[in-house]
Amino acid sequence: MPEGRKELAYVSLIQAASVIAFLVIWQEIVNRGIVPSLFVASPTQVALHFGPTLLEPFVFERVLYTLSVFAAAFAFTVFAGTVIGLLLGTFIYLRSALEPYMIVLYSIPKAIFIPVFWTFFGLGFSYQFWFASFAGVIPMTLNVMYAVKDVDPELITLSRSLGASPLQVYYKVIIPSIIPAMLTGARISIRAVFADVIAAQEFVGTTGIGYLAQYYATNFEPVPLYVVVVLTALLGMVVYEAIIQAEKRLTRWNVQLS
Amino acid sequence: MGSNSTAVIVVRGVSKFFEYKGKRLEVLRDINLEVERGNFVTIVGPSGTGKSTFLSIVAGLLRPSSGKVFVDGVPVEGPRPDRIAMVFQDHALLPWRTVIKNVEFGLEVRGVPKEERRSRAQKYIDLVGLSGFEDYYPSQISGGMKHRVAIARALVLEPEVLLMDEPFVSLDEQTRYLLGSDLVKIWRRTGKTILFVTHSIREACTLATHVVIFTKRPASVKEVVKVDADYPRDPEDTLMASIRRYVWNKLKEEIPQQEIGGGPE
Amino acid sequence: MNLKAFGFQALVLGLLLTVWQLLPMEGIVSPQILSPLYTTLINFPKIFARNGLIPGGLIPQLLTTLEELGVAFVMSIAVSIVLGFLFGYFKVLGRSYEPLIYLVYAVPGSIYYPVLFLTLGLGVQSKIAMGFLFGVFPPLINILSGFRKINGIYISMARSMGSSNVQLFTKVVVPSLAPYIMAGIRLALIFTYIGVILGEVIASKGGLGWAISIANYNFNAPLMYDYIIVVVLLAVAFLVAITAVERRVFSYA
Repeated sequence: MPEGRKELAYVSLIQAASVIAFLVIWQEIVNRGIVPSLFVASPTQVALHFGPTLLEPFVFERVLYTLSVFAAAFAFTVFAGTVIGLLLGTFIYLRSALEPYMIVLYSIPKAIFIPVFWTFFGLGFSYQFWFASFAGVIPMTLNVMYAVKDVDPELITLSRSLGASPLQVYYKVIIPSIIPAMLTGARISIRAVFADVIAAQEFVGTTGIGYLAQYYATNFEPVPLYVVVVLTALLGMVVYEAIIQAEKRLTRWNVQLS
Repeated sequence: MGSNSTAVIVVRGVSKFFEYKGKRLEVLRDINLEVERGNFVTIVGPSGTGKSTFLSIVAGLLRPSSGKVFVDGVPVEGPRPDRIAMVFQDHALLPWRTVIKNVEFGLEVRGVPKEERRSRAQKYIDLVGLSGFEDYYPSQISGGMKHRVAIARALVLEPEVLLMDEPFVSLDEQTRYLLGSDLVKIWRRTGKTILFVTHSIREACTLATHVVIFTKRPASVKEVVKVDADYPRDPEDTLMASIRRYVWNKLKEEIPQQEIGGGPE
Repeated sequence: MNLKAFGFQALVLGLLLTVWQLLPMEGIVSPQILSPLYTTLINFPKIFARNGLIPGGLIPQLLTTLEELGVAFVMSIAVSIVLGFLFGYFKVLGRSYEPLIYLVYAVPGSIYYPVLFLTLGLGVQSKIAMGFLFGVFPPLINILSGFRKINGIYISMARSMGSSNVQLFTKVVVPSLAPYIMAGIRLALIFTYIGVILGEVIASKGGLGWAISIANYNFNAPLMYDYIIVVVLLAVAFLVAITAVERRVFSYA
């Protein structure tokens, strides 16, 4: 077998074996009572109850609700992050003034603001939307801001020398140049936005996946809890994979990927 | 099969091909070459001919697909830095080590004790004209100086043969010229045998005792031109110019018509 | 430019502080939502009070958070470095597990917490586990990308000098990875902190995040903002410390 194919076989084998081992160990932990069944659910239980749990309106509605908040917050994040990033990137004084604050904001645990957002917005859509957007906008803005800063000045000089107006320079040079950074920013923010919608729901309220998880955990119902967790994990993976594909497709011209 | 020759480097029937996605790329075909002790041999050829590949094979970093290389009568099976040292295109200085620690690298690998390492490294740093810069980091010295460090690093193991793969290609013309003449001085002082790959016909003819012209891919030795001129050389005199023109004409035969632009410089 | 930039930054700070004071003071925003700057600051000494809203005051909560952070941080670093080197050195393992790592990284971290507090309770263990889950992936991914970026020319050079595989590893691979390991340490610190605080805010028995949520539930806005300030100051302290260490270690760059 040629070297490449042989390695591919090994890789697939290791991956499959690892996943199976993980599931088996998980199952055994529950079967043998290493952790009491009050606190955990096994893979078989999750598999059996997956469909039924999700079909309950109690669950189903909250899943859809969460997805709608997430979609809205993510869209807003991309839009606002790009706009603010463009502004900060273009106006150098603005950027140098705000840069350290943005970096600090990026590095601090945003969870400390969850109670503030709740106090301001009360329960419901706005609270979750604005908190998740707040968290997502920061990495998005930083990525776009740095990308604008790094646009090759020669390209701009060149376009100006060909008679382009400032607005045209924006449309034809700057915005296409920052698309890779926009996608990177989107990739980083999408995790944060999804996670923070759920976090806000876990903190307070009766809506969403976060509430479901928190409810099942506090009521010692591990099976539906694990079903919800597995579902969320799958959703997260799908969403992330989608962004990665978009990134690949839209940046084919950009030879050097970070 | 031993080498029945007094030459330091003996290349017999070396061929090399690479396999890529089921296709075979033949880079070198039946190279035969002998380099006598103490000669300065430059290699020129069309772009991408595999001159670097050839050098890597002589250095023992790559295995030939067929044929053999002998250095000092011993077949080359792997790197032997105390016999054959290589200077790379982009100097490959480790950025986290100072100049002197970079030069000491080969000695360190061989387990030479600290005191001896330092004094030997110092000797060669002085030889290449970098006294005083021992504790500088690569990021703090110029491009030309980095190349000098790379040369010192290669020389410190006192190899018989020095292989150089387009070592000055990233430098400006002035620095290149200075480094070239310094290299010649070092060569004449130490009596090493040098195999030097370059793109520049001017450089090849000005520095070398012999110029090896490679054919286009798959490469073999087209011709070996002896440069019978005394050192130090004046690149502008008629003999040098005629040698350059000769080499250029030979090289032109290997380059497809549409690529020919300039001249022999 | 540096002085100018500093000036602008100070200006922005002044603006923010002014807004922080005026907005609630003028009634534009309720003081419950945004506790005025002055009120928040003079309330500060009160956070040390042992028998106020927060049992034991600031110190025990700070210690709890630091304890959780410390353990989770060390675990994250240890695991990410070990796995990073394992997967980087043994290419087959790397190729097998890297896609799996990215998949798990895609899961929104906040969903783990209910599972954790169900199994581990509301004490420090669940926060340590949360901090670990948040903190282990970024450095691991970083180290793996560092392996990919090792300059092949250094390896060729070292091999041409007759280096053994072990020497290649210690003299070229490890120093090449040093910046990535350092960056990984910084990432681990930041993300572990994020995970720990998130857990504390959502459901806990102690810690700085818990104090914030308790103050919030009890409509004590000044106290809540005081604790928010503490969390932010701690984060800034970490950033400053890590940056100083990075600068000293990488003076050659």
